Amino acid sequence: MNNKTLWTIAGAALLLFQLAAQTPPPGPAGPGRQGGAPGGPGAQGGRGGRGGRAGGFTQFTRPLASPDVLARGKSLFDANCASCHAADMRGTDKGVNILRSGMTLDDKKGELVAKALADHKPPVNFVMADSVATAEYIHSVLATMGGQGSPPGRNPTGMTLNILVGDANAGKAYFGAHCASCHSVTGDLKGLASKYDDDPRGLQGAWVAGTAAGGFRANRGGGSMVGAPTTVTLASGEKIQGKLVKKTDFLVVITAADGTRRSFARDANGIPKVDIVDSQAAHKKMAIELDDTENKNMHDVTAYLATLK
Amino acid sequence: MKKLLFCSFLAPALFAQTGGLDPADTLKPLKDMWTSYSGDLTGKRYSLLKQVNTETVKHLSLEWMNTGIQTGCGPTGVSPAPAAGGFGGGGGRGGPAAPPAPIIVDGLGTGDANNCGPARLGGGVLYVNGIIYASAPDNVYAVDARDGTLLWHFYWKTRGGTSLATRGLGMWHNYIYFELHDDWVVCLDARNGKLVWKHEISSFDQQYFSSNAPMVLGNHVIVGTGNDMDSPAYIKSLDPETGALQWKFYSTAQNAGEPGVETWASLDAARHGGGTSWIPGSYDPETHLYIFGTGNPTPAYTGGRGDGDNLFTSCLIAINVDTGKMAWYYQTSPHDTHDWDSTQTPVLADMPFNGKPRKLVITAMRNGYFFVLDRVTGEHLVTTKFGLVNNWASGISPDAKPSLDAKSQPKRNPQKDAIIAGSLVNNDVTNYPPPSFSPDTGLFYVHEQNTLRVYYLMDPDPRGSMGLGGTGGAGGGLNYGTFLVAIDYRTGKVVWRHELQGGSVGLLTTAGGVLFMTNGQDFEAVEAKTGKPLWHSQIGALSAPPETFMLDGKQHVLAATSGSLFMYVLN
Repeated sequence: MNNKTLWTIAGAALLLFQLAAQTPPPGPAGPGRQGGAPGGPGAQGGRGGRGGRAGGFTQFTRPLASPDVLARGKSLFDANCASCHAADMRGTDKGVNILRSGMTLDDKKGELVAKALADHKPPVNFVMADSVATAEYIHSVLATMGGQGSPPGRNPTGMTLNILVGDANAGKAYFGAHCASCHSVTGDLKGLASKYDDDPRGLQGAWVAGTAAGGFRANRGGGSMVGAPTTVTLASGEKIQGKLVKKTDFLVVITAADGTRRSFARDANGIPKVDIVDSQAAHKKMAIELDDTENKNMHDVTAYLATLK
Repeated sequence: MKKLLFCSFLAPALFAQTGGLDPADTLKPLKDMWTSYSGDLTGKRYSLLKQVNTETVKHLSLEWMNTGIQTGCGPTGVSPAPAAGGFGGGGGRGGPAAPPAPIIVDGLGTGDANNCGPARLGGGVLYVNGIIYASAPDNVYAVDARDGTLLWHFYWKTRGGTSLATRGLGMWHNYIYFELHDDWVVCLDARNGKLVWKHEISSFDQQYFSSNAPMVLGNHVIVGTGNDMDSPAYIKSLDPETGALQWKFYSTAQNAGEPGVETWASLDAARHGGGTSWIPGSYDPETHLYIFGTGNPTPAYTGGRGDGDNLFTSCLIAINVDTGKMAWYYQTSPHDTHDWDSTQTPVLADMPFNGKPRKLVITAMRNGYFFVLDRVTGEHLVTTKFGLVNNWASGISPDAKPSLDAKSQPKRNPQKDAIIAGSLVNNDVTNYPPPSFSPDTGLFYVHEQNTLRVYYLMDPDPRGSMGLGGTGGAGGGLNYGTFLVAIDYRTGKVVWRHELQGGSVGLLTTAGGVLFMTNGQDFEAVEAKTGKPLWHSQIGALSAPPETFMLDGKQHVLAATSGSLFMYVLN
């Protein structure tokens, strides 16, 4: 037994421990296996009701091999495959991405992976058990992928992503010219950045949308304007104020200050007239003025606001 | 002898296929029936019917409704707790309960992955010879168009996977075609719902999901499939009688030397480069060209694809259905980095352009750009921008001049890609819900949604991410409203906008000058010329585009919501 073998055994033992700690038990899909299933974290909508299912793709529902098989597979993969296909399986200049390989996805119990390894150039001298263990390890990684084909992990490469790239001084000047008439860094925005210490993306998103100061967040159109201050102007000129319940081309419903529900039919000319106070209106206007081809204004203001600890 | 053999080979097939939908009827302008995804094969969603018009639409009244259309679930398809009305529903309310409609069960799952509940009716609902054929994911229903009674119900036990809304059905003689999300297409007997044949479109293990509406074009059934796992994208043509494969067309190069491979970082990048087809296209029977859109490249938001155009993703493509070969293409989002699918339904129209009659294809894409091309040659005619805050390839103002390349294709601003520090950029300006075009008004109608968001690159690995991974948002969303937009096809300019309360499933225009749509919780009709509201019915948000056809000498209008069908007629 040489040193290399000893290290391999030690590595495999460590891996076994890690896998035992991190990998859900074999058998029917448990909560840990569903993270990558459609509708799970990372999934996005936008295609007409993409929803979760009780089932899921094969990669998320198949039983995993035992921890010792997975540990053996990982050890084999790292020693024989990772130099070309990368330890994360996303490929290098020398080897393709294995995670999106039709062969590995279609593989059931190592049969396709074994064939691919038998035909592999340069040769890979695996016995069948090695091929099966490698295949099972690949399947275990596929089971951790995110929704809609995302590689495992929200930040899979673990790189530091610094969004504070703007010029804080320029941002301060922009704030003074465009924001200070409504907001104050010693008033409603005092200590703003400390609320977003964990991720300044939250800070940037909040101030752009106008929710940083706890403002009412409303969207024009749809039910999201429900509750917004509304004035209904009748044909007679009479104005009735309340909070919006519903507005369509044919109907407007408000709740008056005394709690009374008032509904009014609207004609084809939009009478009675309905005026809804959109508390996001100022930020909608601001965002259009803010926009530039390089997002510089936005990044500068974020860099400045990030100093408000 | 050769001719005799040919005839004897065809005879059994012809004998088996009498009655039902005559394929010649699918080529007629939209009027009496609704025979495919868009009603006819032009994609216009413009009906020649005019009993219901701007004057009479106010008298449109409910004839019947069936609010008890349930999805199958479990091993037998029978819901554990039947909803009011149950299967069959007894048609309109108040009638005696009809016996339960037969459920035909098939599929490769156990039934555990099928969700019980109201049917997510969607896509193209067919109406042929007094029968409505509707679908929801994993379910097909035949309904008596005169009273809403369920006649049969086909239920597929799915293996699961990505569950989109269904895009609907195709029909040829007495055969109904339907794609299952776990990647099969089934051919059903329209008379009883029984399975005739099934064909595996793609590999479920490779995370394909198949929701497209089969398009019957002559003796071809065109099926498409979706995928977010970077698996190769393609459409297939099948024999309508047997399901046998006729040809397969890949959106991107799969072998060295194939067209477009030079626009990718490598052959492997091209093979896994996306461009799925998940919405039906339109068909020109004169040229035999099937014109359809391809989806976004993958990885969608990140690097790994090289700097080229990534052909033929995010393209409008014309294919000869007899050969499966591409006649022309036009890329509406070169090197897309925003998930701008070009799968929006193209509209084919014969209209004057610059004083000459032209055979046009018109489309408004998810990226907020409107295009007019010559549909025979692919010659470009018009590119304009729509949307109130569309800034991914131009200044944010609606009037800002778009940045276009030599082919008048929009040129993206890389600073408006998802970047690490965040990019303030518009979201989808429109999406898959089909538009409508009225030759009477010369207006192209489409939903327009106007939102800004801050988008971040989360996976800067130079190898690129995968699928739709590698990006994310963290607030910053600003909604500038949703509108019905009317665009002049000759200039590409927006003629009017009508603000909506949300919802978009597709549009319908008629020779009566009426446009039907969903608007919030209303099923609504507006004047096609001006957008002026005319009529509404508060039945909830529609789940499928509205349709119209003739039944017993009267124009009917059909609306679908989740689990329900509503039939309207003039009183």
